Amino acid sequence: MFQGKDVILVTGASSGIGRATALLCNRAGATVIASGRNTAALQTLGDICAAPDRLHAEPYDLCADLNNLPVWIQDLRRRYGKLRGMAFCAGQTWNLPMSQYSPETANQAFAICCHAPLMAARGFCDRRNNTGQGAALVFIAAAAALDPNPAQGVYGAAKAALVAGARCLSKEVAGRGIRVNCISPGLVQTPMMEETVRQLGREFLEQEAPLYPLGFGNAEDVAHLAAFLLSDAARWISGQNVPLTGGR
Amino acid sequence: MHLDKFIPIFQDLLQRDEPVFATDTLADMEEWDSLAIMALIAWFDKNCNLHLTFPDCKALRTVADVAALAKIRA
Repeated sequence: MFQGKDVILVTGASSGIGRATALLCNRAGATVIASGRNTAALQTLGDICAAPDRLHAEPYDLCADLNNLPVWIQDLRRRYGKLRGMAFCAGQTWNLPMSQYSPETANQAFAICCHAPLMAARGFCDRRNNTGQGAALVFIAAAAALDPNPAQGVYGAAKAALVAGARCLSKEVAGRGIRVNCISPGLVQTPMMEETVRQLGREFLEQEAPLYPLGFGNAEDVAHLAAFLLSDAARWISGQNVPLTGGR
Repeated sequence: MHLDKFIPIFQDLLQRDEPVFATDTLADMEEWDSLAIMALIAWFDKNCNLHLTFPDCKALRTVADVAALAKIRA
């Protein structure tokens, strides 16, 4: 699927979908820059990945300074070469009824779910930082961007903004042969889902389970689509937001 | 601002690896496209309080013309 010269940045690689995507892209032949906040978790990737010489852990807190993200991407390019792909998987979820909506909370959600991915994309799409024709970007959005459940208003709004930004970006960079797509997963068994269950109780899962004829997803289900969208096999796909919801 | 300080800013706006010179012709630069023009307009608006239009920018011929528009000194 990839070659060693294909450098792919995966954010949120310390757990969940990001971790699965980093491992899969590495197994599929790419050189992977695995970024995340949890240094110890990132370093374990080197022990379990298919090709440790093609996996580089880069601990980084994406929200520490959003304005610095393009500079960070530029620094990665200097050290690893021009980027062939980026899978932006870092994220966090919010469970907050609209009665509790506030600009402060929304700003936090937008920082992580919208500003961080789009600022990283700004760095990635800089002509100096990517390989041009064939380069590809994948954002992990959320099913909540299309159809938020109760208490997903803030999260869904931030992810919907990401989807709109990604769609615009896809048109801006299409002329240079760069593709931009989103994946909007439903419930996926990751630490983020565990946090949601912790907040909302097991009843939440019991209510949701019948809505997923194919069951809840796992991180690898999403990683396979992310790797496909990053690869040349998806060369004619751009500007799309692919719902991934197990038949829901 | 002096021209020698503006040149790297302009190079950055164009996202260009190769150096930029005041005498360079904009039309000869592959990076000088509609998105670069919009980025330039936004930069002048934010940093110089100068509200350029798309036709203003399309009428520019060289990098020196861009600088002159903002009264940037050589």
